[in-house]
This record gives sequence, C-alpha cells and structure tokens, in this order.
Amino acid sequence: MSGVEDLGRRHGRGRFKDLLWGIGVALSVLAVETAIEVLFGERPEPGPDRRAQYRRELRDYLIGIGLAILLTLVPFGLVHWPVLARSGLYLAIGACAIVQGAVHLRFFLHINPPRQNTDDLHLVLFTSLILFLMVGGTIWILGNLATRMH
Amino acid sequence: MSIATILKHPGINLDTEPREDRVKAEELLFGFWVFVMSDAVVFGVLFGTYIIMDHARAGGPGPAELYDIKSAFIETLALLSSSFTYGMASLSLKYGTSRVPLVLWLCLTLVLAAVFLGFESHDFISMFQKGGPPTRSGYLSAFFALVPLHGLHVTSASIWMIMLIVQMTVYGVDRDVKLGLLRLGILWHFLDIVWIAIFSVIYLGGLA
Repeated sequence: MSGVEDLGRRHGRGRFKDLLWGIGVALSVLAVETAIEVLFGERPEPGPDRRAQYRRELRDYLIGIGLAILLTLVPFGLVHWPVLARSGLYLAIGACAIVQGAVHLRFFLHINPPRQNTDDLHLVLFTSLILFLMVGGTIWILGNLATRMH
Repeated sequence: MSIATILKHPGINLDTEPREDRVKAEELLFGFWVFVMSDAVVFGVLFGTYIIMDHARAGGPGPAELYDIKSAFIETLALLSSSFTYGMASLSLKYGTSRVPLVLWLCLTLVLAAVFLGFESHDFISMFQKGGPPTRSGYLSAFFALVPLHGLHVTSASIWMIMLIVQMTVYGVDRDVKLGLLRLGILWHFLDIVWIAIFSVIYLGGLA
C-alpha cells in the first residue's frame, strides 16, 4: 500500500516538474523575445504621430501574445492536473480555444471592423457559417448513425 | 465601401506607400483571404471527420497511448512565439529603416518553425513505433489526414519565407517583397489558429 502511495507521489512530483519545465521554456522564450525587441526593436524617427502608431501596433502584438500564452497554459494545466469533471473540462478547453482564436484574429490578423474595410470580416464570418453547417451537420448526422449501428 | 473610400485592409497597413501600391495590396490581400478561408473549410471538414472517426479504433491504440502532452505543449509554445516574431517582422517591415531587424525576426520565426516541425515529426515517428500508423484504424487515418496536413502547410510557408528572404537580399525590400510578406503573414497567423484547434480538439480533447 505504502509502495503504491509512494509511486503515486513520485509520479505526481514528476508531473509537477514537467509543468515547471514547460513554464520555464515559455518564460525563457518570452525573455529572449523581449531582449531581442529591446536590442533590435524599431525606433522610428519621423514624427510623434507615427511613433504613437508604432507603439499602438506593438502593444497589440504584446497583448496578443500575452493572452495567447495565458489561454494555452490554462487548458494544458487543466488537462495535466485533472481538477474538473470531464464535461467541465471539455467546456473549459472549448471556451479557451474559441477565445484564443478570436484573440489571434483581433491582435495578430488585426480584424478590427470599425477602423477598416469590412469585406474581410464578412468573408471570415461567412466561412464560419459554412464551417458550422458542414462540420456540425457531419457530426450530428454521422454521430446519430453511429449510435444507431451499435 | 469600395476600395476608393477606405484603403485599410485588415493587418499591418503600409500607409506611407504610393496610392497605387496600396490599391494593389488591397486586392491581393483580399484574394489571399479568400484562399485562406477555403483552406479553413478543408481543415474544418477534416476536423469533422476526425471527431466522427474518434471511436473507430478497430482495437488499436488510442490517444492515451499515442499522444505526448509535453511535446504538444512545446509545439504550441513554439508556434505561438513564431506568430509573435512574425508580427515583429511585420512591424520592422512597416517602420524599419534597415532590413537587418526584418531579416533577424524572420530568421527567428524560421527557427521556431523548425523547432515545431522537429517535435512534430518526432511525435509522428513515435506514434508509428507505438503501433499507430495511418493504416491501423479509421481513427488513425483521420489523424494522419489532418495533423500532417497542417505540418505540410507550415513547411511550405517556411519555404516561402526562405524564398522571400533570398528575394529581399537580391532585390532589396521592394513592392513585391512587401506584398509577399503581408500575404505570408496572413497564412502564418492562420496556421496558428488551425493549430489552436488541433491542440484543443485532438491533443487536449484526446487526453482529457
């Protein structure tokens, strides 16, 4: 019995070490990136307006990567340490993925409707609708068939 | 909202360029968005197939035996960081006065893509060794139709990036290079979004 407990504890510690290791990799990637930005980052000279624009666009990317890393760590952490019941876990993973997709569209692809041409936004929304119908329909119909066959 | 009234496409706008170049950018980038969205449909339908096939294991190994969460986590971080470094390259393209930081950011992006592809091929090889080749079950066929397709996209995008760097060093940062970099940026960030779906549905969903 104690042997099993010991094994479990050792296994738990191994997992914790894995996660620490992962966080370490994430932080060091961020640190290297920050260092490179400080060293090689652009310092545009013409006009205060252009500098403000540069800062705004840089801030967008920084917010984007910050949120993206957070929204990655949360679901990976939840799977690594199973604190939630299975249905809650699926819900959390799905929610994080959808929010992260939106973060990428907004901060990396700069889909930002009020300030730009909206054709691309319409294209993305229409494609999402098509995907919802095709993927949702496939899962619904074939899933239903599969349960009837068993 | 015609091109004449609003010359602001989504993404980094090169707003100091001559007007005719910006009209051209608008057209090319919209066309590229159409391509990327058709690609999204391909990936989406393969996701549907995977979800349906998830239980078609034919007595073969499943996610718990085949996937490695640590490897998936490193791949995710590499790809996320590469999206950020590509963003920094875009900013260098727009605001930079020399091409040195632009090339450095692009090279860093390539290194991160290589890390991603290295870990991913290692994953595939270890899946083969654990008795999970695509021919083993419907579930594995669906897996190997979807995930390596994304890897193939990352590989092609990396080759495109190398070609742009070569073009840039030979001809300088001219209009064609700039428009190429803007389009590659859309593809790069899009592939990151596809990866979010892959790690959430396949890796985390499979191991949860």
